[in-house]
Amino acid sequence: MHALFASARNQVAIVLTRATNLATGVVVPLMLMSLLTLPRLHHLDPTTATAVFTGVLLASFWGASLWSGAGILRRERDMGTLAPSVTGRPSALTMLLGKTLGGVVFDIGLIVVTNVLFVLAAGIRLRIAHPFVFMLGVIVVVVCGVASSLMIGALLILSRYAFQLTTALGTPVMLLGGTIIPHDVLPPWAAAIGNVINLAWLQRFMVSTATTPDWSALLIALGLSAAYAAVGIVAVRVMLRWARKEGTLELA
Amino acid sequence: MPNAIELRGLTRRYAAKTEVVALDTVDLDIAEGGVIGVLGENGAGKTTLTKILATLLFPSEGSARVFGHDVVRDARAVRRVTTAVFGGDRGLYPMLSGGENLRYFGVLNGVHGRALRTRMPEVLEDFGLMDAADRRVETYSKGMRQRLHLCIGLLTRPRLLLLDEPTVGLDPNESARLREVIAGFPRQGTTVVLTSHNLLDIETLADRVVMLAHGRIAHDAGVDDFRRLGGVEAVVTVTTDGSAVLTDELKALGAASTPDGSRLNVPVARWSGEMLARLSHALAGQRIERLDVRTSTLDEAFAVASRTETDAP
Repeated sequence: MHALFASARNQVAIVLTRATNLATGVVVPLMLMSLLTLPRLHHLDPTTATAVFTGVLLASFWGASLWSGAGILRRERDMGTLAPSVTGRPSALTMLLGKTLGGVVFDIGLIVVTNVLFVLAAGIRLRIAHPFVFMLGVIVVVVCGVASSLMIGALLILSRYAFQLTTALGTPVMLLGGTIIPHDVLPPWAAAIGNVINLAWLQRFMVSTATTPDWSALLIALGLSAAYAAVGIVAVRVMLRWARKEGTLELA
Repeated sequence: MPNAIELRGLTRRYAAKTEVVALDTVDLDIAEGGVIGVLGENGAGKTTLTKILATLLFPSEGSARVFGHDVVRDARAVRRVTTAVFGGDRGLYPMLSGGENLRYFGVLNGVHGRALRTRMPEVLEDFGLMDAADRRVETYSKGMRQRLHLCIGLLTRPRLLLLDEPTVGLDPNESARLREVIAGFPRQGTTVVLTSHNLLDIETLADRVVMLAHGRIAHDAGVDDFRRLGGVEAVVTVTTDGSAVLTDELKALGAASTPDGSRLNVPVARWSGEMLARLSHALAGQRIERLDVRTSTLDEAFAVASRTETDAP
C-alpha cells in the first residue's frame, strides 16, 4: 500500500506541473458543456442535462486519460525513471497501477469540479435520483479508467508509433462510446463496435442514475475493464521482459 | 552462507549490425563484505555487469546469483537485498523537487514512514542538498543531480550496494566525503561493488580489484597486488645540483636521468632490505639535494594492464 500510495502521489505531483492537464481537465469539459448546453439552456430538462453532464465527464475523461494516464510509461522511459520504477522492491505492477491511479484520480477530479462549477454558474438543474449510486458510478469510472489507461499505455509503449496511435484512437473511441453522440443514433455496425468500449456502458449506467440504475450496464463495464486490465498486465509483463532482454529498459 | 555474488559463464551479447559481446563467459565469486572495485576501459563490460546484477538486464547465457538468488528467476528477491546507483543526468523527475524525488525513490528502495522521515534529512545533510531539497531538479547542476542519486541509493542499508561511477560530477571535497560514507558500509554488513574510472576511488576504498577487458576478467587481485602490475612498487626521485651521473649500478636498477642531469628516477620493483642497500650504494657519491619516494599508483598499474590486454592477441 505504501508503494501504491507513493506512486499515485508522485504522479499527481507530476501532472500538477503540466499545463496540458489543465487543458484536458478544464478547457475541454468547459468547451463541451458550453456547446451542448448553452444553445438550449432554456428548454434543457434535468434528465437530458444529467446525460450531457455524464457524457461530457466521460468524453473529457477519455481524452485526458489517453494523454496523461496512457502516456505515463512513455514519459517515464523518456525521463529514464522507468527502470528504477519497475525494478525497485515493490512490484512493477504496483508502481504502474499507483501511477495510473494518481493520474486518473487527478483528471476525473478536475473534470468533475469543472463540470459542477459550470452547472452551478449556468443555473442548470440535474436530476440524480440516486446520488450514492451516482457516486458509485464515479468511483467505477476511476477503476475503469485505470484499467483502460494501463492497457493503452502498455500496448502503446510496445510500438514506435505510440504518438500517432494515441491521436488516431482518441476521436473514434469518443464517438463510438456514445458519450457525445447518443448510442441510439449511431448506425448499428458502429453501435456494435461501441459495445466493446467500457466507456459506452459507463455512460449508460451514469445516465440511468437519473431514473432507475442500470446495474447490468455497470457489470458489463466492469467486466470489460477487467479484460482491459488483464491485457494491460500481460502487456506490461511482456514489455518489461522484452526490455530486460533487449537492454532497452533505461533507454529513451 | 552463499556468496554475495556468484557468476557462472555469464555472457551478454547485444544485437547490432555486428553482434557485440559485452560479457564473455565470466566466472566470479565475491564473498560477503568488503568493497570490490570493477575496472576496465570503456566498453569492457563493467556497466553491463552492474545492470545484470541490478536486474535491469538479462544475461544472454550463464547465470548470476546475488546471495543465492538468481537475477532472472528470482529478480524480486535480488531487488530486496540490492540497491543500485547509476547516477547521471537521467533517472530523476526534473519537474519535481529533490525532496519529492527522494521520497518517491525511497519508497521504491523499501524505505517509508518514520524511517523515511528520519533518513531523508540525514542523507540530504550528508550530501549538502538540504538547502536545495525544495528546488526543482531541473535547476540542479550535474554534481547536484549526482549527489541526489547517491542520496537515493544510500537511504537504505542494502546487503549489496552497486555503485556505477559514483564520483562523476563531484568536486574533490564531495568525492572525499562520499568515499568516507562508502568506507563505512562494509562495517555495517554491506558488500559494495564499485565501478569507477576514478582510480582514487578504487585505491581508497577497494580491497579487491576485478579488471574487465573485452568482456572477460583480465585481472582479479588485491589492491596491492594489482598496483604491482605496473612492475614497480615505488619510484625514487633524486634531485641533485645538476651533476647527476647515471652509473652502471644505477642503470642496472633501471634508473634514468633527466637531460640536464638535475634528477634521477629509480624504479623500485619491490621494497626489501637488500633493495634499500643496493639503492643506498648506487646513490653514494651523488650530490643529493632532495630525495622523494612516490608509491606507484593504480593509474600506472591500470595503464600497464590495459596495454597488456590491448596488445594481447
